[in-house]
Amino acid sequence: MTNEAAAPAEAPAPSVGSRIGGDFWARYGVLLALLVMAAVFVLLSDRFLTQDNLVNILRQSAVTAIAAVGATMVLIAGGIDISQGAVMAFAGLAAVIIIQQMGGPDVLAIAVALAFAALFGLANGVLAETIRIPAFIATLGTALVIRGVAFVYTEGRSVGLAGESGELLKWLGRGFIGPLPVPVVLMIVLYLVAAWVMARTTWGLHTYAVGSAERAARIAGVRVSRHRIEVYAVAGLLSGLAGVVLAGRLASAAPALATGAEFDILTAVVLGGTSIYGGRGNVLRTLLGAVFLATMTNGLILLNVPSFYQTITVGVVLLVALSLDRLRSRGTR
Amino acid sequence: MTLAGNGPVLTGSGLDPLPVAAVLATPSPVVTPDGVPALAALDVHRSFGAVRALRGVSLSVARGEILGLVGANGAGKSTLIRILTGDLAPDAGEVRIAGEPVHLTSVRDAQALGIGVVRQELDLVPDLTVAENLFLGEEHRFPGSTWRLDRASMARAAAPLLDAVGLRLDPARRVSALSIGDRQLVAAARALRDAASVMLLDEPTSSLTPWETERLFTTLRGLATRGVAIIYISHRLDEIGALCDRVTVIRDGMHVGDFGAPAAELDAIVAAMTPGIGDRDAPAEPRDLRQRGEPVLEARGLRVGRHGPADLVLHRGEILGVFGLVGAGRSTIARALTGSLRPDAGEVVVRGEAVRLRSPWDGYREGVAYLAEDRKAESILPGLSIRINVGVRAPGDTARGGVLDMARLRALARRTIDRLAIKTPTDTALIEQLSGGNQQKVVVGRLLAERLDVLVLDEPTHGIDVKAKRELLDLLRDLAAEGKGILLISSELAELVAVADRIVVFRNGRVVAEFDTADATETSLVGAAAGRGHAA
Ligand SMILES: Nc1ncnc2c1ncn2[C@@H]1O[C@H](COP(=O)(O)OP(=O)(O)OP(=O)(O)O)[C@@H](O)[C@H]1O
Ligand SMILES: [Mg+2]
Repeated sequence: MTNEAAAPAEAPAPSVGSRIGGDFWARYGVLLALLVMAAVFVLLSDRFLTQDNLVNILRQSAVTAIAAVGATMVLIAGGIDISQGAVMAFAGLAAVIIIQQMGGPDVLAIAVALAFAALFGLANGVLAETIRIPAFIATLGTALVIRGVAFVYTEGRSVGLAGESGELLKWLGRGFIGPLPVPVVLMIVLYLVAAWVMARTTWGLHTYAVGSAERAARIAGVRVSRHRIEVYAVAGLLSGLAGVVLAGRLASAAPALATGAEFDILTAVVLGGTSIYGGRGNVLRTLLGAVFLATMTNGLILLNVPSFYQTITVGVVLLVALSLDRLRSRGTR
Repeated sequence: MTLAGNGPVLTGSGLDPLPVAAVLATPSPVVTPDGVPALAALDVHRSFGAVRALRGVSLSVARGEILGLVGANGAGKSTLIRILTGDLAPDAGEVRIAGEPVHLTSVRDAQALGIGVVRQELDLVPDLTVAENLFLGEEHRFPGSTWRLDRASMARAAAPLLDAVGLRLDPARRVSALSIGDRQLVAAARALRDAASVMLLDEPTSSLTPWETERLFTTLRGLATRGVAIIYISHRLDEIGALCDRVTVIRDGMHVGDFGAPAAELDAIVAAMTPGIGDRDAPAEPRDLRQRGEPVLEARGLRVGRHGPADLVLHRGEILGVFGLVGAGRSTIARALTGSLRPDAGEVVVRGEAVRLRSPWDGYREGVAYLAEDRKAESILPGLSIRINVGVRAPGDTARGGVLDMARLRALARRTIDRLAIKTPTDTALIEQLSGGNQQKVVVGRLLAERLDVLVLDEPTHGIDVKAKRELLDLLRDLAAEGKGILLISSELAELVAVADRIVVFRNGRVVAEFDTADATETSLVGAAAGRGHAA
């Protein structure tokens, strides 16, 4: 037993409490699982551990991971956003359509796509916070409307970027900076910024506070509704960015793009140990969750596992992660 | 459904015969031969990580005995109660009931053995009604049916339980609509349901006024004469003196003394709890009332729901005490004054100007802040560290342009820990790892970290031990001397009389009396609160 009389001034915080076990798994669980899984794949397939494949895994995870930053913030703030896939599709389509059919410059197209996405996020926030529709329902509603509009406008067809057009957009999705794909660089920069924002700014602090205890945060002088609306708007913006990157990679977009993406995103977030009950979570670990998912899919493909089995595997992983979250939350209640 | 409101109405004097017999219609399942303690803990140990909350505590309580359990914040009282009720397993040691070692693995085990408990952090379900809470886990069903609830039977059974604690309310009301004081009484009523042989109470009166407290005590004394063993935890020593037959003191998780005549030994008890407290025991000088400055916060005809209209004036440099019975609307008006509730009518005036506070955030901008009474639901930010709980608004220089200065934030948290003597190994510990009183100090520290003109404090000493309470009250006087206005809502008369310059008494959200503290007596205050001339 340590000397508990002397309050450790600079020592790293000793984990106080019976949650010590829970903390360990929350902190390092995904990382360990990722390493174990990677080791298995290395043993079973000689194509797994190659530079190309590893870069590929990162590229595969980038789109989900970018959107998952927003999802992490929303969950920490005590909300949920299941309109992310629809917003991704809309933003991707908007960018491609502006470039291809309206002949707009790339920068403008991307800016307009992101603006739409942020606006959708804002609408989610207003519906959930000002009108007080439960967030799950509110974002389900916006998702249906957004995707519906995309289907109506395109009459269900996909739109492609022809020839030389959309250079910047394609670069975002397919380009390289040195050895690294642009989406991967974007993802890494985004995660560093987001981690800094969550840990080092009042905005991040308030995100945790409103998710931890809404009423207490309000009385403590935090503008709860307004802050959550901001968080939803940021999440919308990041969904839009993910959609733009995806459209760039495919050099096309369709109204059915990213269907169901929100579930991959939520799985990544929850795998990273962020609580769906709010107030708890960590952006950087979400990245681990996203990489875990991409690695799993990649490995299963290398092993020629049929894709239906992959769906089952993702589902099982999601349920395991949620069970752990539930058990941990119960421990402290 | 017949509701309590239609039934026999208590006159509220605390003297009418209590239907305790009805409460305890079921005979005690534990028959103790005399001499064997009804409940005992032997050499109980329990650690949380590196924190040793209990290091070998023993205590026992006999049938019909009321044992006071006292100790400073973080001494281990609540931890011991959790162990005695099967909520937490001891690392070592033994719990005995009627001399028999028992292995309690769940709260239900304890219930089945006739142990009733009122927890420090109330565990009522806010979205259920009073009656549903009273019979949670013990629902009445129609004969022969496994699932059809017999609500009429529960409502009938609820009446005597509520009567026994002096609560006159409709058992069909939702708990979330009740004041904290009423919730404490509901929790006590529910504990009575189970307390066939043992009753454990962890600060059951922290939001009750002397009136409600006396009523509860009468019931507890009645229980004791029927052979129930009672353990009573409180930081209000006058209560310990008035109620308990014997007192056990624990300090830092160890048993440090037993006192057989508590009423006469209160000083010794305090000394055992907190050695060295005598050093700074001098009563504070009365302050010169003429020192006070211009009005800084006023309520003009403030009305919220059925409460009001309230009129009051708080001056700079003044501590204005607010007294009233549970349900008198003190908290409601305090909320309306600070932006956490919107008034239906009337004005809030800050520094002479009428302001519209739409949220507590607006209040903070005007330099007016509120400390809520309900610590668990409205003050602490669970899952977050002490550091964040103190600095959530990034007060003062701890942030610039929205970017936190981590060193200053840490320094702020550590200053708060020192200043308020918060018992914790580190400022990164989660707030729910602190004892109740230490959590309270953290949320008080949150307000002290701000530069404010007005502090509206709703039971700020809720759950704080004797020594820390004195220090906090001294601190409030210092803050007033610096020119802040402090509105102090307290159900503890001694506290109001000790620090307030003036005391206003509330009833139905209205100020019904005002006293200069020098002229206030317990009788006059309680009389005004209850309504003179009223049958009560
Ligand atoms: N879940 C927990 N995790 C870590 N530490 C804990 C936990 N629960 C209690 N402790 C620690 O155990 C010690 C005893 O706490 P306990 O709540 O029993 O005190 P208490 O005597 O009830 O104090 P108070 O008068 O403030 O209610 C404290 O130091 C507290 O920080
Ligand atoms: Mg306690």
